[in-house]
Amino acid sequence: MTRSFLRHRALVLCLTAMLAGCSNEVDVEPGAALFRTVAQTAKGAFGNRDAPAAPAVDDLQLRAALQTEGKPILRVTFNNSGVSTFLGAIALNQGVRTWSTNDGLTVSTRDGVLLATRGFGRDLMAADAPSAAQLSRGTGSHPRLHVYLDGADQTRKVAMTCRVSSAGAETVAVLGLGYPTRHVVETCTGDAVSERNDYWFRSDGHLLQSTQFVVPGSPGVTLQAIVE
Amino acid sequence: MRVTHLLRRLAALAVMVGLALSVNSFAVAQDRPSLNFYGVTGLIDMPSGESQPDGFFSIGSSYFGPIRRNTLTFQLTPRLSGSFRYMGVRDWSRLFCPPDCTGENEFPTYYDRSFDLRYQVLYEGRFVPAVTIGLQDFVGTGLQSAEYIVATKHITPRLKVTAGLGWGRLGSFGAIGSPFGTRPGVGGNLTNNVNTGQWFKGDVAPFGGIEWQINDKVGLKVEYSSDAYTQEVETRETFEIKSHVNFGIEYQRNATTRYGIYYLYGSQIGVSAQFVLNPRQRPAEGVRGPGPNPVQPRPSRAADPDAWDPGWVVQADAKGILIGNLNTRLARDGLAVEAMSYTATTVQVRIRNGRYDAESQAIGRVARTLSDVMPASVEVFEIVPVVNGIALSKVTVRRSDLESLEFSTQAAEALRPRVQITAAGPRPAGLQFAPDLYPRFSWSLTPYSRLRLFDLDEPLKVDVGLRLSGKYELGGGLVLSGTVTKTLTGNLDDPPPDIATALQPVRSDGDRYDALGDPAVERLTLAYYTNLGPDLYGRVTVGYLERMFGGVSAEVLWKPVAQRWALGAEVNYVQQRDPDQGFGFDFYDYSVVTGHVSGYLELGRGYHAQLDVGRYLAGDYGATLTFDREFENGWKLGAFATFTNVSPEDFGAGSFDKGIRIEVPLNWLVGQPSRQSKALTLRPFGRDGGARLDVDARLYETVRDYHASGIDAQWGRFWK
Repeated sequence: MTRSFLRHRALVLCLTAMLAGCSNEVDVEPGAALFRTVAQTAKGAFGNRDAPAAPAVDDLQLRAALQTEGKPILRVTFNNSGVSTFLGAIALNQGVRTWSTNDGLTVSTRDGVLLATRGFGRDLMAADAPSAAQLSRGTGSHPRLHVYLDGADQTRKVAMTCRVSSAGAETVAVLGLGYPTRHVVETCTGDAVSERNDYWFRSDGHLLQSTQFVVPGSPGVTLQAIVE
Repeated sequence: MRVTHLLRRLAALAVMVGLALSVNSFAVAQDRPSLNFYGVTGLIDMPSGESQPDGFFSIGSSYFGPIRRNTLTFQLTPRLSGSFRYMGVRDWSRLFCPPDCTGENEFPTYYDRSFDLRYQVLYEGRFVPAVTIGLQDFVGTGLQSAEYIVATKHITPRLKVTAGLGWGRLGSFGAIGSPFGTRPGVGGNLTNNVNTGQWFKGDVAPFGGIEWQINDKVGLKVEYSSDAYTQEVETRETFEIKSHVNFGIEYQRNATTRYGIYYLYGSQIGVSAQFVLNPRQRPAEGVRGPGPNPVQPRPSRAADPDAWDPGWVVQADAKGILIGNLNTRLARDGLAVEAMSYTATTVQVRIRNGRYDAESQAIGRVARTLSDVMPASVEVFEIVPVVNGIALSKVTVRRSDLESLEFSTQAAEALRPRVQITAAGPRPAGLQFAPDLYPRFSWSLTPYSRLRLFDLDEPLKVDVGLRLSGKYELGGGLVLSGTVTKTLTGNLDDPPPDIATALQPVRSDGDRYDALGDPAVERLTLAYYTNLGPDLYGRVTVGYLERMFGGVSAEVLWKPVAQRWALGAEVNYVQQRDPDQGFGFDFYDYSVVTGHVSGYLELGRGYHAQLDVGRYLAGDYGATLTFDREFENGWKLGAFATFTNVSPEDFGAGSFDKGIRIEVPLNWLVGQPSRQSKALTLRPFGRDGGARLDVDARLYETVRDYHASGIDAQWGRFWK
């Protein structure tokens, strides 16, 4: 009974969503997939989205709750939209940790330095990037190589030369807790590319927070270590 | 002058192109040459010596006075471009009808189609101009026919000068002689053919102009036209020419869109809109969708010897558990393991990919998921893609390569030589099938539009309705599927008058099918697909195969996995369906045995050729030659021509069947992974000679996708 009712309801939904088309399988009709994606995005596709300017006490409660998950947690904020979401660690391969949202958006980092994304659309496929230890010295220069896929799915590599400089001591608040940090800036230039990454290292040398670009010319992401 | 039902997808395509154009994210150089009123690279009404960037697809729409033209142009190679144009001349018969309303004077607005080819002979150098030779309307009715050689040279980066010589239409004003003899007439409206006898014959006249791109947004054009508009102005007085100098100002709205307003021939205001698409640039940038299951590396043998113990292999229920674990993890990706067999070191999975346009992405995701699920002793992953029950290839990936290369910036190019793509081979011993995958029912309800272009009465007629599709996969290569349409609104219910045809109306009655098929059973078939042997594939389809024919269709294909060629044969016994597209075959009482032997060849760099030799639906014998250019992301543009033993007189307008076809992958448009695409075939004259059965799911495209070249085209997406 219920099942047949649900099927009818699906049919009715289909008729009302006629512009997009619909199907019992997303893969049969991509218009339906698009429609579903739009609907999901409207519902908050990126999982636990933060209320803006939440009081500090709620942040601490949230932090406590995340700590009970029993796995490392990374917070990612998309700098173009301000949307923020928590990612749990799902794999560790040769020192590179992959973090995922509930719906499968992933970033991969080595000691907090971004090396890859998946599910962003234009993904960072891979990167030759400096180590966190190298960056934390606050000086020096290094090459950086980013790998992307172009519109025809061919590999495109962007080579950059980067300089590291120290921007002094700063106190950074992450999910209800304040930390003394050293702010380090990495500026990278390449062929028609000019980008900047910011890193905030805690006194123990761990990377607490960073703002790193994913695709040249786009605002990038802010990564915050919540549970290590 | 009717076209086949294949045109029905144009509306959908137009909507999609519109969607694509509305997203302003194409990287197109600002100094890309602009288009003229004929929709080819040029000035205002005159062509220029430059070309569009390789692979670009452009749409030009222009109006002035009584003349309007809409043109699709594709830059087939860096030097060669082809255009398809549809134009109309208003007030065509104003002077003649009444009283004489016969022949061409029957229509108040004259509509015509034409094809152009342009070849860039020289690229611009420091001292050398860009030089192009063009053939305008070279297979059409001849009204638009012209040939030209034209040179363009930049004086400064923003200022360029064009000068050329035109024959035919472009030699009709200000002629300076006829160096290659007189121009023979064309044989009239219905017997047009490739007009080789006319080319570069008759009067030649100079033309030219200047383009000044003031800044990135605004450009000015001035030209001297050598077109007298003999028919339109002198014979039919549809407008007046007071000057042959034309002026225009164009505005580059964004990288894809350019508008212009003009003053032409001393008497007319004109407007144009130009759109360009780069198939290599997705409007939505990358393909979205959830990320992959990451590689889960194994513990070292020393650290955890138990994990490497091969004893699991004799565990009775291991296969079922492993298949279940894999399919749980792959469900989000629209992938499924259909069957599995293994030894302690090697696993073979037979997979179904319902989602990823890039076959490499489906394979890459399965490989990474295997690293999560399979016990540590398994080092070799054999991934066998299966479509409709047929195993298409075997992709062998080493687990340790996945572990070591996952985050390498050389991941794609370093992995590929370590991966083998071979024939699927026979079913391995102990192959166990997933218990719950078949039978499998899927359905979809989508809007559809059916378009008729180039109708004698109106240039565009359209029906809009709903299409319900269902598919019941029984497993083992048996697929029952059907499609029903119901028109909601439109004006196709009024077919134009029949034109007498010397052949069975196998396609020219398409308008009758449009008018009477409401609701219509488009297809209802039972198909069986099978591996007939190594590299040999088979298909049998029975039922209502297409809108106009039903019967039985059988096909075999020989396609070695690593080769860039294939051979196929198809034979069909079909009867013509009733135009109401119910289940009957009574109206025509026409049956035919039709079939082809086909050769397929990948020429490299995305160029493909296909030759089909055999018997066509009207019982005529002949051959079809098709050339396609295919982009790595699935965009396809191509042209075909069919020559059969039907005489040009019996064939009717167009003399032989020819056209162009365009296929746009949906993932390109929506930015979501999808294996669907929208295809459009444009024929200037859709007639009954050289018509092929439109049976669904022929083998070659299905098989080729999962062979080496199909997988390699988007190899980078293995890691996405």
